[in-house]
Amino acid sequence: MGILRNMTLRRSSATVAAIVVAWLFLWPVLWMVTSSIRPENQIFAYLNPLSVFSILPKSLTLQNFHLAFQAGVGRAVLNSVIVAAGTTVFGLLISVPAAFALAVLRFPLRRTAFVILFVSFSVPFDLVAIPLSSVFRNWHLANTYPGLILPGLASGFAILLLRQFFANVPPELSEAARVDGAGWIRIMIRIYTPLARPALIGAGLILFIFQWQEFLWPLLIADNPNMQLGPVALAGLQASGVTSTNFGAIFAGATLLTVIPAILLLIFQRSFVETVATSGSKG
Amino acid sequence: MQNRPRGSRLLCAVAGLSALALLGTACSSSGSTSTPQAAQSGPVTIHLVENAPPALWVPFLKAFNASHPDIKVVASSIPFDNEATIVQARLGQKDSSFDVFVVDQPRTADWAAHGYLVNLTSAVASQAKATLFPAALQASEYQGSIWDLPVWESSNQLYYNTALLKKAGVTPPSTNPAQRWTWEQTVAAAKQVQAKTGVSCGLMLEQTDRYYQIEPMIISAGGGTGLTGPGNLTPNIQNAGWVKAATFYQNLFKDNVTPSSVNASETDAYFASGKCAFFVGLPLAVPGLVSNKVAFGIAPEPYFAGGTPATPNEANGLGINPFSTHQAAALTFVKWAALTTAGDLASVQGVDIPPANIASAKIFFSQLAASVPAMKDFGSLVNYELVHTAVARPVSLQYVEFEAEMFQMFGNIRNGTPVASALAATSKQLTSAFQSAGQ
Amino acid sequence: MPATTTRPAPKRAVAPPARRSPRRARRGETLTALLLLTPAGLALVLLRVYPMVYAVFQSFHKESLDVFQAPHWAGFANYRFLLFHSVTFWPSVGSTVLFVAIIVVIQTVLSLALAVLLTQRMFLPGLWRTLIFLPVTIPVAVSTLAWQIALRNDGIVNGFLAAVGLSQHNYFSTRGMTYFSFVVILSWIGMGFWMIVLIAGLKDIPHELREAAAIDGAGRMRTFFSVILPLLKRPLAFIAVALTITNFFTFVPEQVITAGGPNNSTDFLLYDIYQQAYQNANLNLASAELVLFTIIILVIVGLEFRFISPRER
Repeated sequence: MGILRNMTLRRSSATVAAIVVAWLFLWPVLWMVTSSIRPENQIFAYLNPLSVFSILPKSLTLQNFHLAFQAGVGRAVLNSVIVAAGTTVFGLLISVPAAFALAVLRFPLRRTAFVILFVSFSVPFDLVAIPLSSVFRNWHLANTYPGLILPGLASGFAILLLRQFFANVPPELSEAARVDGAGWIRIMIRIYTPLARPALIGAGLILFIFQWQEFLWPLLIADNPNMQLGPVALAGLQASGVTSTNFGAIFAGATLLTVIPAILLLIFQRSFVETVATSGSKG
Repeated sequence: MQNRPRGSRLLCAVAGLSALALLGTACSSSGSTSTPQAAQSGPVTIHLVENAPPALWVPFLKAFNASHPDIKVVASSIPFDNEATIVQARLGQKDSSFDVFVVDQPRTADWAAHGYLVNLTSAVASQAKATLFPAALQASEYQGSIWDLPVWESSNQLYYNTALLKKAGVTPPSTNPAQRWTWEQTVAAAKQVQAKTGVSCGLMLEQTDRYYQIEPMIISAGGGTGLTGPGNLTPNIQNAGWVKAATFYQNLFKDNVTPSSVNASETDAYFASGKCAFFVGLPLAVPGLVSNKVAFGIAPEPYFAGGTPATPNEANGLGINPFSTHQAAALTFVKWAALTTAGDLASVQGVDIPPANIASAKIFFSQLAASVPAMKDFGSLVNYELVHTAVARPVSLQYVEFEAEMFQMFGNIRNGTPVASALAATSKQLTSAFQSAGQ
Repeated sequence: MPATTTRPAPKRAVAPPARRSPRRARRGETLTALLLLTPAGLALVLLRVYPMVYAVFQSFHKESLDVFQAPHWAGFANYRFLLFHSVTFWPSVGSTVLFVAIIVVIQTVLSLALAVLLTQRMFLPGLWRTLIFLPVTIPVAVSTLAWQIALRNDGIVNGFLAAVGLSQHNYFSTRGMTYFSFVVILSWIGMGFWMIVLIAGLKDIPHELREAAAIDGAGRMRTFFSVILPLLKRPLAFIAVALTITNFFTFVPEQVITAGGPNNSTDFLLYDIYQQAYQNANLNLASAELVLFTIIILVIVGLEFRFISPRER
């Protein structure tokens, strides 16, 4: 009886700590979301001194969303979804084989390949985007989905994460399969990939989120209002010299841009943790 | 758009590493002339790159497309903070995919010198001189030529919160420029309102830390623009006028007349919510004031006692891309937008910035006075300032760098860095930066 | 049922059937590797390596004033300027290295603490983890803007501090305050992600090891430091390196909030390069600075590798 009570006490205190921490991370998001449904002139009205109305809206309105949609944010969010989804799918398709080759296969210059990979990961893309954007324009890739997706595919980070995971898989698994006569590609597809579920989700999330956040590249290459992405459309709501910043619309747009990854997250968080809890590989 | 033979496209695609680097330059579009080409026939689509929310340009473009069946203008929007730099990057790559673009007037010299603008003088000079405010046109000129046409103008006024002033027993300033308040008077009145009503903000300047906002104060204090010498390439920011203005600016925050962490994008909303006694800026806060039912009045922008009155000036113009393949159509559009009464008037439907075209401005002012009674003297005030007190930003190839350093410096001064050392450090930095650019 | 580590019993093969000679087997491996690496390799070369090569190429040139003239060869002039004559380069390097050192240490400890907390036995751990991860999904520019407003002198954070009787602050007035604010903002944005990575690492540690330690009489702290931490070395090393690189790329907060100030203390390298490239339109100088920046990162990360995992790599 004492042990049970002890365990419940520990569970409860851990839960309380977790709630406090989670609240620290949550409150700005909550503020943003509630600000998006309150009239714009009330957003800054109750910040200091602190009151319950700092977060709780006194009156509700959908005007901000209306303005945001009018400014093209709806279309932009849709574009962001298409581009990020495409990047994730194709990014994984090219990262998994590469990571497998680097982690499992033996071949000359394997080290060099890894170094090149690592160096390109360390180069900030946004700064080398200018020459690339002019090349893309010449190839008529401006204002196209492929043009927006392509640079996001080269994620050294995703390859690194997958490679690390693959390298930790016990070699006996592949050796056994080789003895049975399986080709490497078969091994990659049948054995390694299913095992790598958490790393796949991790790499997929990286690809998705990096592309979701992208600002400079879409700015350079997609100025057609129909092809703009979410973050760029939001920036267009800021002060423009002839208009002042429309914070309500910005928060509405930000809420939209947060909701979608949040939903994805909810779905994958569960399976991610489940898989990790029953995974068969040792760290 | 250029037609490219298939062969060279394939070549671009399969070239090796080092070859790619060289081919990269070869594959980009090549340049073209720097004067408008001969007229073209048939319906033509031209692309405009602008920097305001797209909704603003819709009625404007609609009006043009309706009255010009042979030309269609399609607009694309780049966020304001990024537009100038992105357009510059694309022009540097000789991009021909857009024809007309918004030009921040102080950049005219820089871009004209780099060959990023088509010289418009022969096509528009006489008409421009006849229809535009001289102060506006001047900002689009460099070395005697006209490089873009101004569509909008700008000016600053002193706004005040009627209710707060009444409560504090402060007599509001008059709209008569002859009875213009001094900065000293304004701050004293602001402090009085703060003391009597407890409001946290006595005076707010619209564009915190921005040179646009502070330049008139410096000139009024006798400090000059800050750049002198041939080509305005020598910094001159440590003289008495600069020290006076910078110290005044610092004291606004030190003495809590102005709250110190409201940045330029939030000031309009701040004043419009009724939390400030006085405000100096563009009319961008007016829609908010009206919707929040905050009673307000306007007066001329203050000046320093013993100095000359000065107000800011200049806004956006439209320029033609020298790599465009539709320059004649582009020119037709630009001329309509700036030089015709209907055109320029259409460009301000939806904003509260005065048009640069004198005739359009007249109509605009009367429309504004009709819809917002508190703005009934706005037109005559702006007219007066544009003729008598408007100051231009220095025409310099290094203006952009200068403006950026100014923003940094005033931020530091606002945060408490001693004025003399801030001015000295920035002067040194400017000299070094100008040198590196000139190497 | 506690998670068990499953390791398949090694197949007791006598000898691999000599169907292929070892040399041919290896050549087959190399060809397969080539095939598998090609798409990623192409992407990396075209989209990362080529622009970098082009940037290096540009760094050795200087622009002519008129855009219609080609840039001319300038040798190491841009590099000489940056290294010996620029007023902003070395201070920028110093600020960046200082800031990265501070934030990487803080964030590594923080993500570890979060991971440990969120793997304790509790109610609804998945929900709390998700909420902590949520900020990762918001575009950085938006979060930064929201935090800027929250950290205003009359903002909600000061409001909260006043409500509980603590003193209020100006969060962007000095280097120290600004770095503190940046650490808060960037950690808020990113910690959820690294926490998840470490949770995966923690969960891989077999339960038996903890139980064995408990049976041996080790307290929870002792277990943590002697048993768990060493086993976390690999993921922690990975995170430290990734955090270093990510934080070297800090850009948005100084662009949106401080414009490199106060007093250039947040003029970090990437922002400085951006100013050269986009604002001053001096692409050649920016390219040279970019090359130096990359070298600095590689050197620091190389040192980190040496220090953290001296064995392989």
